[in-house]
Amino acid sequence: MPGTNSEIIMELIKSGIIMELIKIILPSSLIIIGWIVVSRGNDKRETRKEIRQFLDRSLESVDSIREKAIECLTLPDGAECKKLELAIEPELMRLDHALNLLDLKISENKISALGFRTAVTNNGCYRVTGRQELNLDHRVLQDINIQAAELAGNLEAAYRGTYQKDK
Amino acid sequence: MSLITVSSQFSKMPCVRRRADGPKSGEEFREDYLLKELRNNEKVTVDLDGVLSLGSSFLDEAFGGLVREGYFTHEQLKSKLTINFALQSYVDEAWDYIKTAKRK
Repeated sequence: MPGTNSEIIMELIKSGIIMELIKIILPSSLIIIGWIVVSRGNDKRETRKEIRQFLDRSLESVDSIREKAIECLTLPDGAECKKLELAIEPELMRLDHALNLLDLKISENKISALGFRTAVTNNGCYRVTGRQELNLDHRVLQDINIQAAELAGNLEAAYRGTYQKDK
Repeated sequence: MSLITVSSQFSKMPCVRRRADGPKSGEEFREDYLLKELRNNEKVTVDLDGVLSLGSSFLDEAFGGLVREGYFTHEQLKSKLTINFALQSYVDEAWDYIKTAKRK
């Protein structure tokens, strides 16, 4: 009858129990580790895909607001103009909430729609009673285009910087 | 201490600058709500949560207008006024209008 620990281990090796255990435990461990690695990779890919879709919707929203704002400002003050204004403002706020959730940063600064929002709603023409339609080359329209392009560019750059560092 | 909840007390869609531009303007909010509370209370909190839109022209006129029209200075407002909103960029924007407004 074995007494010490080493004697017990030697006895187990001799009887083949340890080898039998290794045959079961080793493949099981490899399967579990593999499953964890693959699962984490899938989760990351899924998250990245969802964020990309969310970002794409935000980019579409930027373009939609830009188009509506330009259409609105190139119309004289009136019913058609008001209809567009009513669509622009909630869409701007939804965009801001979306960007807040996306939490994309450039040089540690969170990207918001502030510049774009200001260009659309604080230009001295938007929502001004009795306003005449703007010429297509008006600086206000150019500024809206510039701010929309800058916002879209910053969002793309921040996304690449955050989620595609290896590319 | 006074609390103004914009979405329930004023409008869920405050947007325009002047009264002449439409209802629920920045000017209307400043003159009929904000100014009265600021004059009667040591501290005033403006809660913007719940609004569905918030134009920059509204923010400029409502908050920047307090300085532009000569009612308060930036320093006075720093100690009296608190602006709350889920989106910090709007709060920063409002304070930026207060800071950069020039008295008429």
